[in-house]
Amino acid sequence: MSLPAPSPALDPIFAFLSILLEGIPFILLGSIISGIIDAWLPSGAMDRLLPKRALPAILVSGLLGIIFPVCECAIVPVIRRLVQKGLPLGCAMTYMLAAPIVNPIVALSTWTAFTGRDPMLMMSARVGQGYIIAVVAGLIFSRFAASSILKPAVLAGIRPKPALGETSGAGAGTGIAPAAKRPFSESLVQATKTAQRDFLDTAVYFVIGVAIASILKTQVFYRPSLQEGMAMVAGNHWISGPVLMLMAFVLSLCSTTDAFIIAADNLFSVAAKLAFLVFGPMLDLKLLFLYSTVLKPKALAWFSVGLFLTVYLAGFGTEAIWPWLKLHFG
Amino acid sequence: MSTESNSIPGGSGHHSPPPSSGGHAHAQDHGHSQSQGGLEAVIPVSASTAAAAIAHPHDQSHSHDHDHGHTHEQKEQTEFTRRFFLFLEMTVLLLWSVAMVWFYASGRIDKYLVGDGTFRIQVLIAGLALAVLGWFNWSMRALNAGCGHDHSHDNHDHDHSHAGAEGGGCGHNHDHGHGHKHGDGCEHAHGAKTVAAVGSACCGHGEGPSDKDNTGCGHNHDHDHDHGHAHSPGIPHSHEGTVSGRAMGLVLLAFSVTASVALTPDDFSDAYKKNMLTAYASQPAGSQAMPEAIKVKRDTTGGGKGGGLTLEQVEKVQPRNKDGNFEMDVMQLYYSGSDPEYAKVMKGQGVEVIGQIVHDSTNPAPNRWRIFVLQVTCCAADARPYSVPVEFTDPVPDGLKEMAWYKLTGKVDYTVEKNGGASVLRATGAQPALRPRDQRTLF
Repeated sequence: MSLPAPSPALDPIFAFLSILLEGIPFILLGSIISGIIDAWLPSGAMDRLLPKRALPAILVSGLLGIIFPVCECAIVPVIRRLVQKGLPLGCAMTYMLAAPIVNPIVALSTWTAFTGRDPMLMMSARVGQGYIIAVVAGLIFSRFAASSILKPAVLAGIRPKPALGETSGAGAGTGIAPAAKRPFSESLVQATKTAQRDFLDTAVYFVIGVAIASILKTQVFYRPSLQEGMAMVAGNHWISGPVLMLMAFVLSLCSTTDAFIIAADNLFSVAAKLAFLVFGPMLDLKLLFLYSTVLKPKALAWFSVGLFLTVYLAGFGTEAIWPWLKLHFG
Repeated sequence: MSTESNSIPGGSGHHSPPPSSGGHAHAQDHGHSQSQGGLEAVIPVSASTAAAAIAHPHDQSHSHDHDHGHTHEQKEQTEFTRRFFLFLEMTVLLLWSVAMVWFYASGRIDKYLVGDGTFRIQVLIAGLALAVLGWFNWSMRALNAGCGHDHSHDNHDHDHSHAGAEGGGCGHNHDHGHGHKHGDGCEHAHGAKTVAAVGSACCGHGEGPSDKDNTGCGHNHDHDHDHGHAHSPGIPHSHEGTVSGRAMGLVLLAFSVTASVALTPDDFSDAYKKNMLTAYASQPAGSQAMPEAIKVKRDTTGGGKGGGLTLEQVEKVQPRNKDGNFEMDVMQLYYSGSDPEYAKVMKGQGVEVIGQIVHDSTNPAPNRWRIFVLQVTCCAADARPYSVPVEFTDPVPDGLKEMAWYKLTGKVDYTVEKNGGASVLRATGAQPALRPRDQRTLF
């Protein structure tokens, strides 16, 4: 069997398939975790593990990625399920945004990629900034009613929390304990059913996002004129950050990979690279479509604009204290 | 920035109504009962039906009779649709599974994902897992039909204890205590908290189970209506589970994997590679440190006076070949300029390097070429070219073909660029070569 000859028209297909083969195992992993959560995690369990008050709960949620390192593709189905299991919206969003950055695998890859270019500083700045922005986003999300943020389909799956008086009663007669009473086979069927449904759902959006990213990347991004334009603005203090954020958005890289892609670049400033590394794992083309399985279009639009501005502005803050950071941590 | 904000409403707007369900049977099942057309007639009465359920939790036969006329046909259709979709889903999963396992088994995966890490084996494992998942869910289709336990077990579970595992999820419908529980749920449905209302309303979302359970499920249908009702206040109807939406999603998944597998050339076009090359050509390694992975190992024992690196030390860790040349790869050569000590020792030494060659887009002189490799971090889509300028000092060998693989022989030199030292190969010879099998260069 002979393969089609490489041609510019087929470049997107090759890129598409390679991202698909890279990402699909993680989407499946996330969906299986979601199925397990659906079948076995009692409703409201996450709620009880987290601190009672909103702020500490959100602060802790931002660190969950350290214990459960999940990359950005796998986390979306998991988050959807956790929200339905009663995880407060603010905590869920913070976890979703922070986990692909505040996690040991990503920290290590950032460190490795920036070897010889202030690795410690770059890694800490990325993780720190990602954490703070995720917490801020979570606090903002927690101010809104779930019904104005979440898609109806996600909302509809939210279980009612057990009433206050019942929770203390060792679970008897409430919705807490019974999961254990159910035969294993039944839970298993439920888990696989949910996993399959979540996989198919998420995969549809993933495929759309990846297809667009592949086309833009192979047909537009490396056009010499565009590249010249990028090189021209690379030195511009105000525009270089947004340019790299836009690049992160289009390229839709995995958060464990992106540091390697940008570290070797020597046109752009450290601040712009940091913006790339913080923005990309929180929002890119594939994530935009994946998030649309959780968030309402309007909420998603506001979130995207807000995140873009926040990362942009945060970059200046980090840049301002960079010399100080370098002196003390470099 | 304007591009950014534009793309978002555009992107998401494009996808409402989204092609597939919200990820749980519930939305889908709901969609089914809606789409069957029986609901219009029932919605007006559902409030009173639910109210009746609360007021008379034991009075199941009442609500049962109420709507049975509609639901019998509807249910058979729904059950057919459900199984049909389950079959389609399995087909899609098997399709993906076959593609992934085949790519792994045939070795074609090597062109897509790097050998470092676990990327390739992940494809095999995920491919097999998809097949198992699809097959398992299909073979459990009778059990899956369940009377709504997929979303509402928190309300139901106490009843499940006396439901057998085999299709038994439905036995509990006859239980009176159960009716009571549902009543509770419905109370919420009429309560103030919308979210809670919807959540609990899902206690009735189960569509009819398999045919034999008809009698048991009248009750469930009662709740189906509550469900539709509970959605109406505050929360708009979700069409995520519409039959056409789900079908479109499945078709997209089947089509995308089939088309891309059929059409993929397993490589990028030369035009694209050249574009990438041009984009990065203006970026010599300069002052960048060499990545640890390709750093020239050095023997620190017996260093030269003052700790400097000596030629003897380099020879020790990097022996010359029979022609007296050092064999380097393009990455090493590219980065060697960033290590001043190493560059000082290597300057003027004979080397051999294998890579693809192209005319130098930054220098039109006929003897100026570039030798490059595409380096990949995870998948082919993140490929990045690393190139070193080549200057043929002797007459340029005849018949050099662009984009072909060559082994170039010559001497290393370093020029001073604004960002630091950049490597140049002063080439004297070129021989066609095979592409080296490297875990990170895929092409």
